[in-house]
Amino acid sequence: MNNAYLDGLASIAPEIVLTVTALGALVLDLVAKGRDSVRVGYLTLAGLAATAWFLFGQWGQPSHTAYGMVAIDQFGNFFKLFSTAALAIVVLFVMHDRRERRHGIGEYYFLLLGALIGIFFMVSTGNLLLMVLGFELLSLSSYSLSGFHKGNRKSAEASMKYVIFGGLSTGIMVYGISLLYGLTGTIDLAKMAGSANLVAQVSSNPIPFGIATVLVLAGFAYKISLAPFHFWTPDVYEGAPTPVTAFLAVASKAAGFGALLRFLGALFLDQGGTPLGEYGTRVGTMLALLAAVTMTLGNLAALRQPSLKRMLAYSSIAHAGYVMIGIACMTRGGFTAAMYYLAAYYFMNLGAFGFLVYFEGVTGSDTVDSLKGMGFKAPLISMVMVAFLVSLTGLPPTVGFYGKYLLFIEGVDNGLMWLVVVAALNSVVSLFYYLRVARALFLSKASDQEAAPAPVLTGFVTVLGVATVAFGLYVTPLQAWATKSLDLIRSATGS
Amino acid sequence: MTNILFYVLAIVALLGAAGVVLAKSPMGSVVSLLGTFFALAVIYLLAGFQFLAGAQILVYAGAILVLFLFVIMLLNLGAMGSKFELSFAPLQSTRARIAGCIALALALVGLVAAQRASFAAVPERDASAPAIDSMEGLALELFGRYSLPFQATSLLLLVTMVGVIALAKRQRSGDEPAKGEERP
Repeated sequence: MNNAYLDGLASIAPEIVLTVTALGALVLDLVAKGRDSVRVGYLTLAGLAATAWFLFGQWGQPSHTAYGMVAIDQFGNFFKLFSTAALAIVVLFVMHDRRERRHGIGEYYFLLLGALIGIFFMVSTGNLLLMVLGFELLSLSSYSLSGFHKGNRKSAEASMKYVIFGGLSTGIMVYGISLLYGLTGTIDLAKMAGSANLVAQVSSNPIPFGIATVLVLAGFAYKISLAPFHFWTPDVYEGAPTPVTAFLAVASKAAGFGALLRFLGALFLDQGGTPLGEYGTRVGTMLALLAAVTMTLGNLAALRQPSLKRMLAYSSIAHAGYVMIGIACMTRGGFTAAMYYLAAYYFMNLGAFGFLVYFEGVTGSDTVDSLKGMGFKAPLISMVMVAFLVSLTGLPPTVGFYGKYLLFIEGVDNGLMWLVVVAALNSVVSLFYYLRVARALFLSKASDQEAAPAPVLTGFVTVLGVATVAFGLYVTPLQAWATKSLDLIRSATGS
Repeated sequence: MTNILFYVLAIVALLGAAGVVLAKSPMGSVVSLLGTFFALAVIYLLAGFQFLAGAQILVYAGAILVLFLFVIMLLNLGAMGSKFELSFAPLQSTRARIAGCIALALALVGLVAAQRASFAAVPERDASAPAIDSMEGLALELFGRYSLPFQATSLLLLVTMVGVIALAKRQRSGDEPAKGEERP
């Protein structure tokens, strides 16, 4: 055992803690023979808290470990901390979800933690091999989790569709990576960007590089459900258990964005004037087109959904489109805006799903119609839900408003005026279906459904709601964090 | 010579892969898969990776396919058809035809683009990277530089295993389905 090896272990401490927690959850459930599901939940929460503690310990100078494969930097930490917090909230959902089965809880938490480890690898590596492994770790856990309601046809269908779509897109992505390897002779993104061969190729004939990039981007587009790779999203989100849906819609999607930002950032960011940088603006134009299609499709489809769960699924597709405005800019400012919006997205979407968990537990149904009059039965959580809806629409004084504002400013600054107009029109469309929920809650006649109190669930959904409004009013810390996190993206990938 | 051999083997591998999907009986699928594995192994040999080729044969053709055969025999699926026949039924629907046409058009565009593309140069192998064509070189790389991805793979397999068991495990009789699960 030499010291370098131990130092290397210390720098991947969060991943190690997560792995140990995952195994512990599995064993504890086995020992308790499935009776003591609450204790397994607390063990998972403790593991997540320890992970967050180690992540805070890695604040500071970026470093590399595992032969330069893993970058310990602010960018990775930004996504890791948010994902860890998101998973902690999802675990709380599971513990307070009345519909959740209690048996097999060890496997449930194990798979959730496995997915989180996948996210950690995805967002912290500039090495495409490790990125694909992280992708698969996240995907394979998600496939099993979305089929966890056995005996439910929709859940089984969700899992099956997810596997087929996921397998196909991973195949496409790996094929694209193999082409990139053929062009540059390396799978490390920083070395790839510095490859003289690649520059020569792009300036003489960019078609092979273009094909490779499009194929790799297809893999990312599947993970963040960007049109035309979004078809799996509504079915999977509807069929999966609601806490799992929250995890997929928030943590998994944001991780896809994190890996995408690292990929694009390493190859194209700050390369103005060079052939690679010029090619980056063309990739940006393609992404802008996809963004416009994605948000329009998502919003129009969400208009007609009777089920709140399915509506949130389509709305998450639309939000992927909004985030792409910032990425399509292909500038530092644009990327920062995208990261800020993702942070906002964590708060408001987790909150909305928390409300859905509560409400499904009460009524056993997820349609907007059965929400009627619930605003008077459970006033606090319903009012908080309205705050989330306002934020999702992008109205002040919420975090969603400021996020959208940043994205629009960056879009206009970088000559994507048309895209910003499309996004603004889309926000108006989204107002209709978000308000439909608010109307059902407060302006409809009450049904005779009794609202059972759920103080803990209401409590942390309210905390999320307060955060949604507070960060909308006091935007500096979150924005500063996003800016600071992005500043290290270049140094992070170089080794 | 090597090029011709490569193309022949690539075609064999692709035909085998198509056979896996199109074969009527599960046994036919397994035999097609065997063809793909052998073709891939010889491609590895052509590229100079003797150990990988050997491992491909031993692990995939030797172990995994035999396991598939056992499962098929145990479930008695082999009796469905002893002859090797192809079934094109999934391709008969209009939608599948439209999708196939689009895919073919895209593939043609890609082929034309690749034909017109001129490659600047074949990149040099990373000089610092050690040779991995021998077993020793491969082991040094796998357990040295790539030890973290190697361990990530083991975690991936564990997650897959647990996921499969969680999905495949029969529901216990005492375990009531959760409330609201039998929604239409």
